[in-house]
Amino acid sequence: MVLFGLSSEGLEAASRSLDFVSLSTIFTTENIANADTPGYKSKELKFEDAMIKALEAGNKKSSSASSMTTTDPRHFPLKDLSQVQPLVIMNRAAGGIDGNNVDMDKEITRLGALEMKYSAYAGIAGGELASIKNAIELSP
Amino acid sequence: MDLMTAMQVSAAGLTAQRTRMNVVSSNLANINTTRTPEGGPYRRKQVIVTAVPVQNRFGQMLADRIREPKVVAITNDPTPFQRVFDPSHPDADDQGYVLLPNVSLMKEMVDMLSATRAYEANSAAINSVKNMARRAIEIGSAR
Repeated sequence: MVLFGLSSEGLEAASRSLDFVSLSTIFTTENIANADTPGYKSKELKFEDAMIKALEAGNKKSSSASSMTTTDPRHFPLKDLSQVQPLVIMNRAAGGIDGNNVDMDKEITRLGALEMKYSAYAGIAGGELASIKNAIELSP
Repeated sequence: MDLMTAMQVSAAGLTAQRTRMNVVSSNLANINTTRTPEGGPYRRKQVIVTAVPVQNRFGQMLADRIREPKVVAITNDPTPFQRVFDPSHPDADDQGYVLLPNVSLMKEMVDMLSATRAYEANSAAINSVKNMARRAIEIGSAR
């Protein structure tokens, strides 16, 4: 993310992660809400691997699809995290007698983990913003 | 697609579970009802829940096919009535047998517990989402 000419990769990564965590939360709440719906199949969203891959691809100064081109070799490569594609996993297991395969314990645990992750990424985003603010206020 | 969608889905879950609970109450309350407007004893009611795509405020379907539960029908349980020998009952037939509703106390109690737990799970999910939203509001404020 470029803010007043300041580029913060951490802020970009944190805000993308927040997006993915909220999407993942939608999936999890959907599973919980449909725990008694006959024939419903659970789904989950995985984004960490794709995110790590995009961040690592950006670190290598190669012209891979997920990094932006630089016009000078001394430029830091700007990572294009908007292209990160999360993985949607559709659980095809047969499930119980009514064809529903939601595992309530798993979903509740995941929801707790997502809550913590959201808090963590929000904290990172806040920290990044604080350091940008610090940089702005540093000038005499 | 935001946290409000998650809230909406959980709210639909709460509604579906509450409907189940209402039906369980109706079945339990009428466990001995021998006369109904339709004639005959009370028939056990059951809830049919399906997963329908979530629509946002503008009526547009969400691309990712997020589904929320929806009660589409409350149907009658077609299983036969219980036949109990009780000649003193006003609704007893010539042989002294009374037709009682096809409601099973055990079944209803199990349904009730299951609906209660599912309601709790949905309400816990709403609280989690609320905490997340609060955390998002706090981004950038002094900590």
